[in-house]
Parts: sequence; C-alpha cells; structure tokens
Amino acid sequence: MHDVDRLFRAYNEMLVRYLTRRLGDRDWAEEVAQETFVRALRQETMTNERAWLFTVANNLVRDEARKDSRRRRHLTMLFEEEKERVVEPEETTIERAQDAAMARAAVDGLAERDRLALLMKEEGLDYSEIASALGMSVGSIGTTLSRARRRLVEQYERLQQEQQRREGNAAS
Amino acid sequence: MQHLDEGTIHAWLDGELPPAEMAAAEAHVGTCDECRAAVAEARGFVAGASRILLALDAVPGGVLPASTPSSIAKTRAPRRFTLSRTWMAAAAVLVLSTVTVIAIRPKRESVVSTVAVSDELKEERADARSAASAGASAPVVAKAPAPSEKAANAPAPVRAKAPSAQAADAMVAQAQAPAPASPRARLEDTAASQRARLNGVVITGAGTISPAEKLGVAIASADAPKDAPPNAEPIRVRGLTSMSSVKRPVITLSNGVVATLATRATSAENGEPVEISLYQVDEVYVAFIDRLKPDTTRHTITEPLVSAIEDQSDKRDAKMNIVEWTDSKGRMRTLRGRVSLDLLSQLKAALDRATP
Repeated sequence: MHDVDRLFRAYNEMLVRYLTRRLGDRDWAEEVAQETFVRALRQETMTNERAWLFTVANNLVRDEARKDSRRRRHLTMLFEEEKERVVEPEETTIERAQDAAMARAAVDGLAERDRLALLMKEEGLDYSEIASALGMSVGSIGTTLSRARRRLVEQYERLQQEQQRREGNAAS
Repeated sequence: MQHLDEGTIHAWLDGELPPAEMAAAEAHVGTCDECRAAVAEARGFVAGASRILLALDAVPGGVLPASTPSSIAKTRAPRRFTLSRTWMAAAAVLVLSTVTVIAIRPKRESVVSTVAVSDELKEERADARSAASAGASAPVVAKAPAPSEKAANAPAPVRAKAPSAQAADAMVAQAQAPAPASPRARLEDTAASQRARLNGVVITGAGTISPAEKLGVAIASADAPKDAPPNAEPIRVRGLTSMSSVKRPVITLSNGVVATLATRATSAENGEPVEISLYQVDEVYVAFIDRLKPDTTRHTITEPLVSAIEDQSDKRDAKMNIVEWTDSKGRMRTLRGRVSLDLLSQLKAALDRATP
C-alpha cells in the first residue's frame, strides 16, 4: 500500500497540469487525477511511481473512471486544501485566450501518441518513463518528440498566420 | 560520422543520449555546419513547443465537452463560486466611482473636461519645453503615460513633475488619439517612446505588452540619452513570432555599454515558472533567468533560449561567467554570458534596481 498523501503532494500538480493540457478542462483533469490516486491506493508495488501514475491516468481518460466515494471524499478534501494553497492565476485576457485557443487547436492536431509523449516530456518525464507509459521503445522517443515539436510549432505558426490574415482583412 | 538525424538531435538536447553518443554528437556538430543548423532549428522547435504548451494552462474548468465519459461527469463536485481579489477590487472601484460621479457630476460637462485634460497636458508640455531649454538636467521621474486604453476614454490627467517634451508630446498624442478598433489594436497602440531613469539606470523602450512595465519602472526622463542604439535584431525562435513585435528596453551600464533586451519567454524549470530574458551586451547575449516563485530550488536550465547563448560561435573563446543571487523577495536569479564579471555585476545591479 502506498502513502497516497505523499504521492499526491509529489505528483498531483504535474499530473493535473498534464491532464488539463491534454483534456482542455481543469475540472475533468482533477477528477481523473483523483481517480488515479485512488488506483494508486490499491496498487501493491510500483517500480516507477511517476510512469505508473501517468500510465493509469492515460488509461482512465480512455476508459471510464470508477467510483470510489469514500476515498474520493478524502482526496477531495486534499484537493480543496491544495486549492486554498495555490495562488489564483491571472485573469485571462482576450489575447491570452486567443493564444490558448490556437495552442489547443495545434495540440489537438497532433497524433495522439505524439501529443502524449510531448505533454509528458513537458512534465519532466524522461524517455524511459515516457516509453513505459506509452508502451513504446526508448529508442523511438527522440523521433516521436522531434516530430511532435516540429508539427506543433508549424501548425501553430499556420494558425497565427491565418489569424493575422483575418485581422488584416477585417481592418481593410 | 554520418549526419545526426532529428530524433538523435532532440534526444541530445533533452540530455537523453548515453555519454559516448553525446560526446560523438558534440564532436560532430562542432565540425558540421549542416548539423549545427539542424541543432539550432531543433532548439527553436523545443522552445516553441514549450511556449505553445504553456498557453494551454490558461484553461477554465467546466468546459467539459459532451463526449465526456458519463461516470466521470456524474461524479463531478459542484463548482464553487468565488470572486478573486482582483474582481472584488474592480467591483469596489466601479461602485465607488459610479456613486461619486452621480453625486458630484454637473450636467453636460463631459466634453469640457476632455478639452481641459488636453489643455492641461499641453501646458505641461510647454512647461517641459521651457524647462528643457533652460538646461534642467536633474533626472526627474514621471508617472507612465496612461496606456492607450485609458487615453481613449478621456484619460485622467497624467501628473508629471517635469516631463520631457517628448513624453509630453506623447501624452497629448495619446489623449487626442481616436479609440483603437480592437483590443489587440489597443494593446499595440502605445507607440510613444518611453524612457526611464532609476538610480542612474536608463531604460528605454516602447511597449506593446510593455516590458518596461514588467520591469516595474517609472517612465520618462528629462535627460535620457539621445544616442540610444537601435534595437538589436531579436533572436528568432519558432513559435514565438509575436515576440518580434515587443519593443525592447535598453539598460545603460557604465562607460556607455548598453544591454538591450533581445527576447523574453516564460518557461518552466522543474515545473516552476521562470522568466528568461536574453540581453544583448556588446554583441554578446546574456541570459537572465528570473525564477518567479521565491524559495525555488535551482535545477539545470534546459530552456533552449539559454542554450542560444552557447551558439555564438565567434564568442566561444570568451569565458562563460555566471552570477547568481537571491533577490529581496527570496527569488533566485541567474545571469550567464560570455562577458566580463564586471559587466554582469553591473547588469545585476541594474536589474535589481529595476525589479526590486
């Protein structure tokens, strides 16, 4: 049995950020993260906690999360504590919202495996952890990430250009 | 050795190559222009991708699409309704100002007050010109000209003790400018040159998102140098095209040496936010890493913007110097670049004064 409090404090922030970036909805991300920690309670052994948590979170997003109301209540309490601790983010401006929408469109345009590898890398997972979570060989992660980064940036640039063209048309 | 493939380059930049392969890759890149260019491009992609993903963090809750798994959706806790301090403060100001206006506003005076503001600014400009012509040399700090958004709405009088003629011109121009068409246009409408002098440090620049504001400086100086160098060409990072439109502040150090902000990006270091600014000092890039949270533990910087300073092939012989310190708020800051320690120390002092 794992110390779920320790796991939560160590990995919740990065897991929620990863899931938020993946799903585009913070509430949903927090719920999936909760369920991931509930699963961690049941897990006897983990060779790599971080890779395990990300693997389970990925599976939960694909499948449906199961209910575990008693443990969920405890985790909900921890989440509330965390929310009190975390400083509220700045208000979203129109420009930031536009950037976020373009970023979301660019990320959604990636192949799923590329997207997940990239999001996990951004959370600090190393190649072996990413390979473990995605069931890939370590040797292929560099290629996957290079493709993902290139496509993401190119797609984002294309969207930016479209936006600028639209603004130019609107101005004229 | 064959050219490095893109996957190997990214693995190298991510620090994931075994030591032997890493050494071989380094040696090859040192002699192969083609691979060096590929590495520079890959660094751009790494930085660009990180920047794009950061934009995803401004995501609200409760935007769950209809395709959400039902059991997850059903177990969702009710959302709390909270007001942030910012909103509460804004609401309070709005209520107070509304009440005040209703209570004291004489009828049909709005047009007159707008004209009065402009006249007042013109008077200040005239004062400033006469002060300048009289040879006033003491640096005086004025409040920043109101951003165009304020200016477009009959701005409150900008109180400057003795603004320069240029600054006063800019204020009048802003006060008389028509309302920009869009929020983006409003943000980009602050075209007037802004200068500041704080404890001998001159910072110039004109703001779209206003790096000068970020540096926390007051605007305007009676004797800012007229020979400020043209802005340096920014380092191009793919995915950061909007950065090129940001006007860059210039920090004047001793002996006429200037540090020009070339580009700036927000990144993450072990999950913690850091702001990385590249300053050009005597044609050498210096990275300023500003950890935005206090008591953040330092980790290896993987941000490619920082690595960009390694790419200055003609400066490789110069020693890389690093200055690291903790500011008054407990935030760890780092300056690194192939310039003298003395210049780094001056830049450190300037940055500390500008962003205490």
